[in-house]
Amino acid sequence: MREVVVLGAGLHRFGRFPDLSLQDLGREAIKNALADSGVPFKDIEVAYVGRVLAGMGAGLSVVSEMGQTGIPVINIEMACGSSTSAFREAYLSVANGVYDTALVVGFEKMQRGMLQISEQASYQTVMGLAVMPAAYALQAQRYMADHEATPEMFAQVSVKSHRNGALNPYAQYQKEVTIEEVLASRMIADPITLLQCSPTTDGAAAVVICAKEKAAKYSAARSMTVAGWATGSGKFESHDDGEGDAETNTGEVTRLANQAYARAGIGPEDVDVTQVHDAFSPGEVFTIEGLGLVKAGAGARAVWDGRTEITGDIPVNTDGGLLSRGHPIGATGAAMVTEIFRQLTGEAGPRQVKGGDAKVGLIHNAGIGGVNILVFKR
Amino acid sequence: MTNIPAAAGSAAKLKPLRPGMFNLPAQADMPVRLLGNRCRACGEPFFPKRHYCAACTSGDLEDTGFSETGKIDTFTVVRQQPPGGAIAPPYAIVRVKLDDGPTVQTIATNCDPEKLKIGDRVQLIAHRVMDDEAGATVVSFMAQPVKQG
Repeated sequence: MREVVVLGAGLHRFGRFPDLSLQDLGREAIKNALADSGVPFKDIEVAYVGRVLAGMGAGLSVVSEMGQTGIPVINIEMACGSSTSAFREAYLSVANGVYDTALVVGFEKMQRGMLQISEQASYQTVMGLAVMPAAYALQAQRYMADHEATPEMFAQVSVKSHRNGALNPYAQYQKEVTIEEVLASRMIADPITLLQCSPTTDGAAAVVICAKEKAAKYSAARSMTVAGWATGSGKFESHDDGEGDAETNTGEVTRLANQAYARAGIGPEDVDVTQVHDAFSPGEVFTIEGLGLVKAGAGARAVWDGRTEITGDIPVNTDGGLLSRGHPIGATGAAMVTEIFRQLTGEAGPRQVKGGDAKVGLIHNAGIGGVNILVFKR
Repeated sequence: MTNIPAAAGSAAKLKPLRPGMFNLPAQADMPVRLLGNRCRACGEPFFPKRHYCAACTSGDLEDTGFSETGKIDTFTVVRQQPPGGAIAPPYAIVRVKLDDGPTVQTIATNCDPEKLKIGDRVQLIAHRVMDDEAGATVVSFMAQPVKQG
Protein backbone atom coordinates (compact mmCIF):
# COMPACT_ATOMS: atom_id res chain seq x y z
CA MET A 1 0.00 0.00 0.00
CA ARG A 2 1.13 3.57 -0.71
CA GLU A 3 1.99 6.08 1.96
CA VAL A 4 -0.84 8.56 2.53
CA VAL A 5 -0.57 12.03 4.04
CA VAL A 6 -3.01 14.52 5.51
CA LEU A 7 -2.48 17.86 3.74
CA GLY A 8 -5.05 19.99 5.50
CA ALA A 9 -8.03 20.11 7.79
CA GLY A 10 -10.72 22.56 8.76
CA LEU A 11 -13.80 23.05 10.88
CA HIS A 12 -16.98 25.02 11.10
CA ARG A 13 -17.11 26.21 14.67
CA PHE A 14 -18.93 23.76 16.94
CA GLY A 15 -21.97 25.08 18.80
CA ARG A 16 -25.70 25.57 18.38
CA PHE A 17 -26.64 27.22 15.11
CA PRO A 18 -30.39 26.95 14.61
CA ASP A 19 -30.26 29.34 11.65
CA LEU A 20 -27.56 27.45 9.73
CA SER A 21 -28.16 24.45 7.47
CA LEU A 22 -26.02 21.35 7.12
CA GLN A 23 -24.86 22.83 3.82
CA ASP A 24 -23.76 26.02 5.59
CA LEU A 25 -21.79 24.07 8.19
CA GLY A 26 -20.26 21.57 5.77
CA ARG A 27 -19.33 24.16 3.12
CA GLU A 28 -17.39 26.20 5.68
CA ALA A 29 -15.46 23.16 6.95
CA ILE A 30 -14.63 21.96 3.43
CA LYS A 31 -13.58 25.47 2.33
CA ASN A 32 -11.27 25.73 5.35
CA ALA A 33 -9.77 22.26 4.80
CA LEU A 34 -9.14 22.89 1.10
CA ALA A 35 -7.51 26.26 1.83
CA ASP A 36 -5.41 24.64 4.57
CA SER A 37 -4.25 21.89 2.20
CA GLY A 38 -3.66 23.94 -0.95
CA VAL A 39 -5.71 21.37 -2.89
CA PRO A 40 -8.41 22.86 -5.14
CA PHE A 41 -11.82 21.16 -5.06
CA LYS A 42 -11.49 20.20 -8.74
CA ASP A 43 -8.55 17.94 -7.78
CA ILE A 44 -10.63 15.98 -5.24
CA GLU A 45 -11.40 12.56 -6.72
CA VAL A 46 -13.69 11.10 -4.05
CA ALA A 47 -15.47 12.22 -0.89
CA TYR A 48 -16.29 10.07 2.12
CA VAL A 49 -18.86 11.59 4.43
CA GLY A 50 -19.57 10.68 8.06
CA ARG A 51 -23.08 11.62 9.18
CA VAL A 52 -25.78 9.99 11.29
CA LEU A 53 -29.01 11.91 11.80
CA ALA A 54 -29.23 13.78 8.49
CA GLY A 55 -31.56 12.38 5.85
CA MET A 56 -30.98 10.37 2.70
CA GLY A 57 -28.09 11.50 0.51
CA ALA A 58 -27.02 14.26 2.86
CA GLY A 59 -23.36 13.76 1.95
CA LEU A 60 -23.89 14.71 -1.67
CA SER A 61 -26.09 17.67 -0.84
CA VAL A 62 -23.26 19.12 1.26
CA VAL A 63 -20.24 18.19 -0.89
CA SER A 64 -21.90 19.39 -4.11
CA GLU A 65 -22.04 22.88 -2.59
CA MET A 66 -18.37 23.12 -3.63
CA GLY A 67 -19.12 22.18 -7.26
CA GLN A 68 -20.69 19.34 -9.20
CA THR A 69 -17.59 17.62 -10.49
CA GLY A 70 -19.18 14.19 -10.78
CA ILE A 71 -17.05 12.52 -8.10
CA PRO A 72 -18.37 9.65 -6.00
CA VAL A 73 -19.73 10.84 -2.64
CA ILE A 74 -20.01 8.01 -0.14
CA ASN A 75 -22.18 8.32 2.96
CA ILE A 76 -20.89 6.42 6.00
CA GLU A 77 -22.57 5.80 9.34
CA MET A 78 -21.07 4.31 12.51
CA ALA A 79 -22.86 6.44 15.08
CA CYS A 80 -20.39 8.67 16.94
CA GLY A 81 -17.46 7.10 15.08
CA SER A 82 -18.79 7.89 11.61
CA SER A 83 -16.17 10.31 10.34
CA THR A 84 -13.18 8.26 11.44
CA SER A 85 -14.85 5.41 9.55
CA ALA A 86 -15.10 7.78 6.58
CA PHE A 87 -11.43 8.69 7.09
CA ARG A 88 -10.39 5.04 7.14
CA GLU A 89 -12.28 4.25 3.93
CA ALA A 90 -10.76 7.31 2.23
CA TYR A 91 -7.30 6.30 3.46
CA LEU A 92 -7.66 2.73 2.16
CA SER A 93 -8.84 3.90 -1.26
CA VAL A 94 -5.85 6.24 -1.63
CA ALA A 95 -3.35 3.81 -0.09
CA ASN A 96 -4.50 1.14 -2.54
CA GLY A 97 -4.02 3.44 -5.51
CA VAL A 98 -7.66 3.82 -6.50
CA TYR A 99 -7.57 7.60 -5.99
CA ASP A 100 -4.79 10.12 -5.37
CA THR A 101 -6.71 12.77 -3.46
CA ALA A 102 -9.72 12.34 -1.22
CA LEU A 103 -11.90 14.53 0.95
CA VAL A 104 -13.25 13.39 4.31
CA VAL A 105 -16.22 15.29 5.69
CA GLY A 106 -18.23 14.92 8.88
CA PHE A 107 -21.22 16.99 9.92
CA GLU A 108 -24.23 16.90 12.19
CA LYS A 109 -27.02 19.02 13.58
CA MET A 110 -28.15 17.54 16.90
CA GLN A 111 -31.41 17.90 18.74
CA ARG A 112 -31.32 18.86 22.39
CA GLY A 113 -31.64 16.21 25.08
CA MET A 114 -30.54 12.61 25.42
CA LEU A 115 -29.81 10.69 22.28
CA GLN A 116 -32.23 7.86 21.49
CA ILE A 117 -29.89 4.88 21.23
CA SER A 118 -32.24 1.93 20.89
CA GLU A 119 -35.27 1.22 18.72
CA GLN A 120 -38.42 2.95 19.92
CA ALA A 121 -40.23 -0.33 20.67
CA SER A 122 -37.41 -2.29 22.28
CA TYR A 123 -37.98 -3.44 25.85
CA GLN A 124 -34.78 -1.64 26.83
CA THR A 125 -36.20 1.69 25.59
CA VAL A 126 -39.55 1.22 27.35
CA MET A 127 -37.90 0.14 30.62
CA GLY A 128 -35.53 3.10 30.50
CA LEU A 129 -32.43 0.91 30.15
CA ALA A 130 -31.20 2.41 26.88
CA VAL A 131 -29.47 5.37 28.47
CA MET A 132 -26.11 6.34 27.02
CA PRO A 133 -24.70 8.08 30.13
CA ALA A 134 -25.79 5.03 32.16
CA ALA A 135 -23.56 2.78 30.05
CA TYR A 136 -20.56 4.86 31.15
CA ALA A 137 -21.94 5.27 34.69
CA LEU A 138 -22.26 1.51 35.22
CA GLN A 139 -18.61 1.09 34.24
CA ALA A 140 -17.57 4.04 36.39
CA GLN A 141 -19.33 2.66 39.50
CA ARG A 142 -17.64 -0.70 39.02
CA TYR A 143 -14.31 1.06 38.40
CA MET A 144 -14.62 2.97 41.69
CA ALA A 145 -15.35 -0.29 43.52
CA ASP A 146 -12.31 -1.97 41.98
CA HIS A 147 -9.77 0.87 42.14
CA GLU A 148 -8.91 3.81 44.32
CA ALA A 149 -10.96 6.27 42.32
CA THR A 150 -13.47 8.92 43.34
CA PRO A 151 -16.21 10.93 41.60
CA GLU A 152 -13.86 13.93 41.85
CA MET A 153 -11.36 12.17 39.61
CA PHE A 154 -13.96 11.74 36.86
CA ALA A 155 -15.08 15.33 37.34
CA GLN A 156 -11.48 16.45 36.82
CA VAL A 157 -11.67 15.15 33.23
CA SER A 158 -14.32 17.77 32.55
CA VAL A 159 -12.34 20.52 34.30
CA LYS A 160 -9.33 19.72 32.12
CA SER A 161 -11.39 19.48 28.93
CA HIS A 162 -13.04 22.86 29.52
CA ARG A 163 -9.64 24.43 30.26
CA ASN A 164 -8.47 23.20 26.85
CA GLY A 165 -11.71 24.21 25.16
CA ALA A 166 -11.22 27.75 26.44
CA LEU A 167 -8.09 27.86 24.25
CA ASN A 168 -9.90 26.64 21.13
CA PRO A 169 -11.78 29.22 19.03
CA TYR A 170 -13.73 26.40 17.33
CA ALA A 171 -14.99 24.85 20.59
CA GLN A 172 -18.66 24.94 21.61
CA TYR A 173 -17.71 25.87 25.18
CA GLN A 174 -14.79 28.24 25.53
CA LYS A 175 -15.13 28.73 29.26
CA GLU A 176 -13.31 27.11 32.15
CA VAL A 177 -15.28 25.36 34.88
CA THR A 178 -14.24 24.53 38.43
CA ILE A 179 -14.43 21.06 39.93
CA GLU A 180 -17.04 22.41 42.36
CA GLU A 181 -19.21 23.53 39.42
CA VAL A 182 -18.84 20.15 37.71
CA LEU A 183 -19.78 18.20 40.86
CA ALA A 184 -22.67 20.56 41.71
CA SER A 185 -24.24 20.36 38.25
CA ARG A 186 -27.35 18.20 37.94
CA MET A 187 -26.80 14.47 38.48
CA ILE A 188 -27.68 12.52 35.32
CA ALA A 189 -26.61 8.94 36.18
CA ASP A 190 -24.41 8.49 39.25
CA PRO A 191 -21.56 9.47 39.32
CA ILE A 192 -21.97 11.43 36.05
CA THR A 193 -23.23 14.99 36.39
CA LEU A 194 -24.47 17.21 33.55
CA LEU A 195 -21.08 18.90 33.05
CA GLN A 196 -19.56 15.44 32.56
CA CYS A 197 -21.82 14.76 29.55
CA SER A 198 -20.91 15.86 26.04
CA PRO A 199 -23.34 18.51 24.86
CA THR A 200 -25.61 18.40 21.83
CA THR A 201 -23.82 20.22 19.08
CA ASP A 202 -24.02 21.42 15.49
CA GLY A 203 -20.76 21.39 13.57
CA ALA A 204 -18.70 20.15 10.66
CA ALA A 205 -15.13 19.06 10.03
CA ALA A 206 -13.20 18.19 6.87
CA VAL A 207 -9.82 16.67 6.07
CA VAL A 208 -7.91 16.45 2.76
CA ILE A 209 -5.68 13.42 2.19
CA CYS A 210 -3.34 12.60 -0.68
CA ALA A 211 -0.97 9.89 -1.82
CA LYS A 212 2.46 11.00 -0.58
CA GLU A 213 3.99 10.49 -4.03
CA LYS A 214 1.46 12.93 -5.48
CA ALA A 215 1.59 15.49 -2.67
CA ALA A 216 4.67 17.49 -3.72
CA LYS A 217 2.67 19.86 -5.92
CA TYR A 218 0.56 20.89 -2.93
CA SER A 219 2.16 21.57 0.45
CA ALA A 220 4.01 18.36 1.27
CA ALA A 221 6.46 20.19 3.52
CA ARG A 222 3.61 20.49 5.97
CA SER A 223 1.81 17.21 6.39
CA MET A 224 1.33 14.21 8.61
CA THR A 225 1.45 10.60 7.56
CA VAL A 226 -1.24 8.04 8.28
CA ALA A 227 0.94 5.55 10.15
CA GLY A 228 -1.53 3.04 11.57
CA TRP A 229 -5.18 2.22 11.93
CA ALA A 230 -7.51 -0.38 13.32
CA THR A 231 -11.24 -0.75 13.36
CA GLY A 232 -13.66 -3.27 14.72
CA SER A 233 -17.03 -3.93 16.25
CA GLY A 234 -17.56 -5.17 19.78
CA LYS A 235 -16.28 -8.70 20.16
CA PHE A 236 -18.48 -10.88 22.34
CA GLU A 237 -17.04 -11.52 25.77
CA SER A 238 -18.30 -14.40 27.83
CA HIS A 239 -21.25 -13.76 30.19
CA ASP A 240 -21.24 -10.21 29.12
CA ASP A 241 -24.25 -8.00 28.59
CA GLY A 242 -23.58 -4.33 28.51
CA GLU A 243 -19.81 -4.55 28.40
CA GLY A 244 -20.07 -6.04 24.93
CA ASP A 245 -20.64 -2.57 23.51
CA ALA A 246 -17.33 -1.50 22.04
CA GLU A 247 -17.88 2.12 23.08
CA THR A 248 -17.24 1.41 26.76
CA ASN A 249 -15.33 -1.87 26.58
CA THR A 250 -11.65 -1.26 27.30
CA GLY A 251 -10.69 -4.81 26.27
CA GLU A 252 -11.91 -4.00 22.79
CA VAL A 253 -9.90 -0.77 22.74
CA THR A 254 -6.75 -2.66 23.72
CA ARG A 255 -7.26 -5.29 21.02
CA LEU A 256 -7.63 -2.61 18.34
CA ALA A 257 -4.94 -0.27 19.68
CA ASN A 258 -2.42 -3.11 19.55
CA GLN A 259 -3.31 -3.68 15.88
CA ALA A 260 -2.84 0.01 15.14
CA TYR A 261 0.46 0.22 17.04
CA ALA A 262 1.76 -2.83 15.16
CA ARG A 263 0.86 -1.28 11.80
CA ALA A 264 2.57 1.98 12.82
CA GLY A 265 5.63 0.22 14.25
CA ILE A 266 5.26 2.03 17.58
CA GLY A 267 4.12 1.38 21.13
CA PRO A 268 1.96 3.50 23.43
CA GLU A 269 5.14 4.98 24.97
CA ASP A 270 5.87 6.69 21.64
CA VAL A 271 2.59 8.66 21.56
CA ASP A 272 2.97 12.43 22.10
CA VAL A 273 -0.66 13.55 21.91
CA THR A 274 -3.99 11.72 21.99
CA GLN A 275 -7.64 12.37 21.20
CA VAL A 276 -10.09 10.02 22.92
CA HIS A 277 -13.85 9.60 22.81
CA ASP A 278 -14.96 11.30 26.04
CA ALA A 279 -18.71 11.33 25.35
CA PHE A 280 -18.93 11.16 29.15
CA SER A 281 -16.05 11.95 31.51
CA PRO A 282 -15.23 8.35 32.52
CA GLY A 283 -14.51 7.71 28.84
CA GLU A 284 -11.12 9.41 29.09
CA VAL A 285 -10.16 7.34 32.14
CA PHE A 286 -11.14 4.00 30.62
CA THR A 287 -9.68 4.78 27.22
CA ILE A 288 -6.21 5.90 28.29
CA GLU A 289 -6.00 2.56 30.07
CA GLY A 290 -7.34 0.64 27.09
CA LEU A 291 -4.84 2.37 24.80
CA GLY A 292 -1.99 1.39 27.13
CA LEU A 293 -1.02 5.02 27.86
CA VAL A 294 -1.30 4.15 31.56
CA LYS A 295 -1.61 0.86 33.42
CA ALA A 296 -5.04 -0.70 34.01
CA GLY A 297 -6.59 0.95 37.06
CA ALA A 298 -4.24 3.95 36.93
CA GLY A 299 -6.32 6.14 34.60
CA ALA A 300 -8.33 8.12 37.16
CA ARG A 301 -5.20 8.88 39.17
CA ALA A 302 -3.35 9.93 35.99
CA VAL A 303 -6.08 12.48 35.22
CA TRP A 304 -6.13 13.69 38.83
CA ASP A 305 -2.34 14.15 38.80
CA GLY A 306 -2.53 16.29 35.65
CA ARG A 307 -0.79 13.83 33.35
CA THR A 308 -3.43 14.30 30.62
CA GLU A 309 -3.21 18.10 30.65
CA ILE A 310 -1.65 19.93 27.68
CA THR A 311 1.44 20.30 29.88
CA GLY A 312 1.36 16.69 31.07
CA ASP A 313 3.33 13.72 29.78
CA ILE A 314 0.29 12.14 28.03
CA PRO A 315 -1.80 15.10 26.82
CA VAL A 316 -5.36 14.07 25.94
CA ASN A 317 -8.14 16.00 24.17
CA THR A 318 -6.11 19.16 23.78
CA ASP A 319 -8.93 20.87 21.86
CA GLY A 320 -11.49 20.35 24.64
CA GLY A 321 -12.64 16.92 23.52
CA LEU A 322 -16.26 15.94 23.14
CA LEU A 323 -17.05 17.50 26.53
CA SER A 324 -16.02 21.07 25.65
CA ARG A 325 -15.29 21.25 21.91
CA GLY A 326 -18.66 19.55 21.46
CA HIS A 327 -19.97 16.36 19.89
CA PRO A 328 -21.87 16.72 16.61
CA ILE A 329 -21.75 12.96 16.27
CA GLY A 330 -20.97 12.67 12.56
CA ALA A 331 -18.28 15.38 12.73
CA THR A 332 -16.42 14.36 15.87
CA GLY A 333 -13.91 11.96 14.32
CA ALA A 334 -12.83 14.40 11.60
CA ALA A 335 -12.45 17.10 14.26
CA MET A 336 -10.13 14.76 16.16
CA VAL A 337 -8.00 14.36 13.01
CA THR A 338 -8.00 18.15 12.64
CA GLU A 339 -6.62 18.68 16.14
CA ILE A 340 -3.92 16.03 15.72
CA PHE A 341 -2.93 17.74 12.45
CA ARG A 342 -2.59 21.09 14.27
CA GLN A 343 -0.51 19.45 17.00
CA LEU A 344 1.84 17.51 14.70
CA THR A 345 2.38 20.50 12.39
CA GLY A 346 3.16 22.74 15.39
CA GLU A 347 0.20 25.00 14.64
CA ALA A 348 -1.87 24.41 17.78
CA GLY A 349 -0.98 27.80 19.28
CA PRO A 350 -1.81 28.03 22.99
CA ARG A 351 -2.85 24.35 22.95
CA GLN A 352 0.48 23.17 21.53
CA VAL A 353 2.01 20.19 23.34
CA LYS A 354 5.67 19.27 23.80
CA GLY A 355 6.97 22.66 22.65
CA GLY A 356 5.89 21.99 19.08
CA ASP A 357 7.96 18.82 18.91
CA ALA A 358 5.10 16.29 18.91
CA LYS A 359 5.89 13.49 16.45
CA VAL A 360 3.17 10.86 17.03
CA GLY A 361 -0.57 11.45 17.44
CA LEU A 362 -3.21 8.90 18.38
CA ILE A 363 -6.99 8.94 17.94
CA HIS A 364 -9.70 6.79 19.55
CA ASN A 365 -13.19 7.45 18.21
CA ALA A 366 -16.01 5.14 19.25
CA GLY A 367 -19.58 4.76 18.15
CA ILE A 368 -22.30 2.36 19.19
CA GLY A 369 -21.05 -0.87 17.68
CA GLY A 370 -17.50 0.02 16.87
CA VAL A 371 -14.16 1.66 17.53
CA ASN A 372 -11.67 3.33 15.21
CA ILE A 373 -8.04 3.83 16.16
CA LEU A 374 -5.76 6.02 14.02
CA VAL A 375 -2.03 6.72 14.41
CA PHE A 376 -0.34 9.65 12.69
CA LYS A 377 3.33 10.61 12.40
CA ARG A 378 4.77 13.98 11.56
CA MET B 1 -39.81 2.77 49.68
CA THR B 2 -41.21 1.80 46.31
CA ASN B 3 -39.88 3.86 43.48
CA ILE B 4 -42.28 2.36 40.92
CA PRO B 5 -45.87 2.31 42.18
CA ALA B 6 -47.77 -0.96 41.96
CA ALA B 7 -51.00 -0.89 39.96
CA ALA B 8 -54.20 -0.03 41.76
CA GLY B 9 -56.14 -3.24 42.33
CA SER B 10 -53.92 -6.31 42.34
CA ALA B 11 -56.61 -8.26 40.47
CA ALA B 12 -55.78 -6.43 37.24
CA LYS B 13 -54.81 -8.73 34.40
CA LEU B 14 -51.04 -9.09 33.97
CA LYS B 15 -49.43 -8.81 30.56
CA PRO B 16 -45.72 -9.23 29.82
CA LEU B 17 -43.96 -6.22 28.28
CA ARG B 18 -42.67 -8.60 25.59
CA PRO B 19 -43.85 -12.20 25.18
CA GLY B 20 -41.45 -15.05 25.83
CA MET B 21 -38.90 -13.20 27.95
CA PHE B 22 -39.96 -14.64 31.31
CA ASN B 23 -42.58 -16.96 32.80
CA LEU B 24 -45.58 -14.82 33.71
CA PRO B 25 -46.55 -15.32 37.36
CA ALA B 26 -50.12 -15.22 38.68
CA GLN B 27 -49.54 -11.91 40.41
CA ALA B 28 -47.24 -8.93 40.11
CA ASP B 29 -44.11 -8.88 42.29
CA MET B 30 -43.83 -12.70 42.24
CA PRO B 31 -40.51 -14.33 41.24
CA VAL B 32 -39.78 -14.93 37.55
CA ARG B 33 -37.33 -17.04 35.62
CA LEU B 34 -35.82 -15.41 32.57
CA LEU B 35 -36.27 -17.50 29.43
CA GLY B 36 -33.16 -17.55 27.31
CA ASN B 37 -31.11 -20.10 25.50
CA ARG B 38 -27.71 -21.73 25.64
CA CYS B 39 -25.30 -22.66 22.86
CA ARG B 40 -25.01 -26.45 22.54
CA ALA B 41 -21.59 -26.06 20.92
CA CYS B 42 -19.79 -23.82 23.43
CA GLY B 43 -22.19 -23.57 26.39
CA GLU B 44 -22.57 -19.79 26.31
CA PRO B 45 -25.89 -18.62 27.85
CA PHE B 46 -27.96 -15.81 26.31
CA PHE B 47 -30.74 -13.56 27.40
CA PRO B 48 -32.70 -12.53 25.43
CA LYS B 49 -32.59 -15.57 23.15
CA ARG B 50 -30.38 -15.50 20.08
CA HIS B 51 -30.65 -17.44 16.82
CA TYR B 52 -26.87 -17.72 16.45
CA CYS B 53 -24.28 -17.89 19.22
CA ALA B 54 -22.50 -14.54 19.65
CA ALA B 55 -19.38 -16.31 20.91
CA CYS B 56 -18.88 -19.20 18.46
CA THR B 57 -21.50 -18.46 15.72
CA SER B 58 -23.20 -21.87 16.07
CA GLY B 59 -26.90 -21.96 15.19
CA ASP B 60 -27.53 -24.86 17.57
CA LEU B 61 -29.01 -23.35 20.74
CA GLU B 62 -31.41 -24.86 23.25
CA ASP B 63 -34.03 -22.98 25.24
CA THR B 64 -33.44 -22.74 28.95
CA GLY B 65 -34.59 -20.84 31.99
CA PHE B 66 -32.15 -19.09 34.29
CA SER B 67 -32.01 -18.74 38.06
CA GLU B 68 -34.30 -16.18 39.68
CA THR B 69 -31.49 -14.83 41.79
CA GLY B 70 -28.13 -13.19 41.34
CA LYS B 71 -26.00 -10.36 42.61
CA ILE B 72 -25.43 -6.77 41.58
CA ASP B 73 -22.27 -6.45 39.48
CA THR B 74 -22.74 -2.69 39.14
CA PHE B 75 -25.54 -0.13 39.15
CA THR B 76 -26.32 3.52 38.55
CA VAL B 77 -29.23 5.76 39.45
CA VAL B 78 -30.80 7.43 36.41
CA ARG B 79 -32.10 10.91 37.23
CA GLN B 80 -33.31 12.14 33.85
CA GLN B 81 -36.00 10.38 31.84
CA PRO B 82 -34.60 8.96 28.59
CA PRO B 83 -36.57 9.28 25.34
CA GLY B 84 -39.25 6.56 25.13
CA GLY B 85 -38.83 5.44 28.75
CA ALA B 86 -42.02 4.59 30.67
CA ILE B 87 -40.54 4.74 34.17
CA ALA B 88 -40.17 8.00 36.04
CA PRO B 89 -36.71 8.76 37.46
CA PRO B 90 -34.98 8.41 39.78
CA TYR B 91 -34.60 4.69 39.23
CA ALA B 92 -31.61 2.37 39.39
CA ILE B 93 -30.28 0.39 36.45
CA VAL B 94 -28.57 -2.71 37.79
CA ARG B 95 -26.28 -5.13 36.02
CA VAL B 96 -27.02 -8.49 37.61
CA LYS B 97 -24.85 -11.57 37.40
CA LEU B 98 -27.39 -14.41 37.59
CA ASP B 99 -26.33 -17.36 39.71
CA ASP B 100 -26.40 -19.82 36.82
CA GLY B 101 -26.73 -17.74 33.72
CA PRO B 102 -25.70 -14.62 31.87
CA THR B 103 -25.33 -11.06 33.11
CA VAL B 104 -28.49 -9.03 32.52
CA GLN B 105 -29.41 -5.39 32.88
CA THR B 106 -32.69 -4.35 34.42
CA ILE B 107 -34.32 -1.90 36.82
CA ALA B 108 -34.12 -2.27 40.59
CA THR B 109 -37.53 -2.08 42.25
CA ASN B 110 -39.22 -2.24 45.68
CA CYS B 111 -36.14 -0.63 47.18
CA ASP B 112 -34.43 2.66 47.86
CA PRO B 113 -32.13 3.11 44.86
CA GLU B 114 -29.87 5.32 46.99
CA LYS B 115 -29.06 2.37 49.25
CA LEU B 116 -28.01 -0.18 46.62
CA LYS B 117 -24.51 -1.61 46.80
CA ILE B 118 -22.39 -3.62 44.42
CA GLY B 119 -22.56 -7.26 45.58
CA ASP B 120 -26.13 -7.04 46.94
CA ARG B 121 -28.20 -10.18 46.33
CA VAL B 122 -31.30 -9.68 44.22
CA GLN B 123 -34.43 -11.64 43.32
CA LEU B 124 -35.94 -11.21 39.86
CA ILE B 125 -39.66 -10.45 39.98
CA ALA B 126 -42.36 -9.39 37.53
CA HIS B 127 -43.07 -5.73 38.27
CA ARG B 128 -45.35 -3.15 36.73
CA VAL B 129 -43.91 -0.97 33.94
CA MET B 130 -47.19 0.69 32.90
CA ASP B 131 -50.83 -0.03 32.13
CA ASP B 132 -51.97 -0.66 28.57
CA GLU B 133 -55.06 0.82 26.85
CA ALA B 134 -57.20 -2.18 27.88
CA GLY B 135 -56.34 -1.69 31.54
CA ALA B 136 -53.97 -4.64 31.83
CA THR B 137 -50.89 -4.26 34.02
CA VAL B 138 -47.83 -4.52 31.79
CA VAL B 139 -45.00 -6.13 33.75
CA SER B 140 -41.37 -6.85 33.05
CA PHE B 141 -38.58 -8.54 34.92
CA MET B 142 -36.96 -6.35 37.57
CA ALA B 143 -34.48 -6.89 40.37
CA GLN B 144 -35.61 -6.69 43.99
CA PRO B 145 -32.89 -6.63 46.63
CA VAL B 146 -33.17 -9.65 48.93
CA LYS B 147 -32.50 -7.52 52.00
CA GLN B 148 -32.08 -3.82 52.35
CA GLY B 149 -31.15 -2.19 55.64
